Amino acid sequence: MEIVPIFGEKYPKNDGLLTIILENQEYNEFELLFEKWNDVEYLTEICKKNESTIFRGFFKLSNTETFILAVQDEASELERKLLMHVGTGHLSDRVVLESIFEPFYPQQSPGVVLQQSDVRVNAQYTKKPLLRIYALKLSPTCFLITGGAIKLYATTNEGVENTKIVTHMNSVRDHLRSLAVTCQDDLQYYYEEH
Amino acid sequence: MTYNIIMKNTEELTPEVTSKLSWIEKALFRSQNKKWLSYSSKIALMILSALEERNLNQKQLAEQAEVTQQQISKIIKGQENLTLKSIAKLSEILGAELITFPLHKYNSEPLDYVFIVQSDHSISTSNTYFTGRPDNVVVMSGLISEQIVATKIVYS
Repeated sequence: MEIVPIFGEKYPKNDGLLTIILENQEYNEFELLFEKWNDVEYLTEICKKNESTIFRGFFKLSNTETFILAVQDEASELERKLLMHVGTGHLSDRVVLESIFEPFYPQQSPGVVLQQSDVRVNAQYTKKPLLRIYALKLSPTCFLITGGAIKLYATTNEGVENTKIVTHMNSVRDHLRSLAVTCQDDLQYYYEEH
Repeated sequence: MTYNIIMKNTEELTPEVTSKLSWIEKALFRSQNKKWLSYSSKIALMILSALEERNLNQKQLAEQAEVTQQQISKIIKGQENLTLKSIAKLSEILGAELITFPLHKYNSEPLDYVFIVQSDHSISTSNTYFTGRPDNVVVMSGLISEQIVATKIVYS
């Protein structure tokens, strides 16, 4: 598992959005999300496996095409939201990146080390967002993306996939702790050693 | 690097090239090419549906279309900028129209009837007036202002 910056070489690799790449994987965990969310074949399979949930559950979508277009539209909106932070040059603005991530456990204090967080599309875009990107907070301007999910249920506790994602987020958290990476400043030592 | 500069650099990108790009460049590519990518997604879904209905797999389709299985895989992911020639070829093999074209003024047939919805929900035509809402008439078209324009009527 290697920590990699998302915004590319022209941005500081110890600030902004980071993610991890697992051994022998073509894509890092962040890019993998958008590859999947834009892959019609993958989304069709998800739909087949979760028919009853998608068509009759919390979201009540009418058919496979509606589901695929909803996921792709939302992924595009999420990309737009994240791109805004590159394009407007606000990456170094201490408020902006923190403002788009919400604590995964809302009752937690903001000072929790490697706080589990998520980002989704704005409420104005849709009241029932399907997609989540999960991250660990290293500082108000630095988040490490651990993965994401198509959220098919009203709450996070429901569904095998959602549980897997939360477990994965926590295992990445443990791994970072074992590498002594618990805040943004620790990244400098991490990169020196790796 | 600003947003505008990146936009300029990705104007000429093709899906093949995007596989080597960073997320920022890919995201901009998807944003700039959203319209045709959505067409590609819909075609991919049509192909998947046709394959399932005909009990064919991707390998068999690749063989019949004389392309590699990798190319079919890309098409089915909905990220391929297909040519009309390719769409026509796949349509023929699958025996299913992968794209359709809407009616326009040069290929529309004259309307059979024009129904007008009255304020009391009764329906009238230019020739006939139905008192009350007739339950045995199904109008197969959309609402245009206060009028329903119909080309087909189904009597139950």
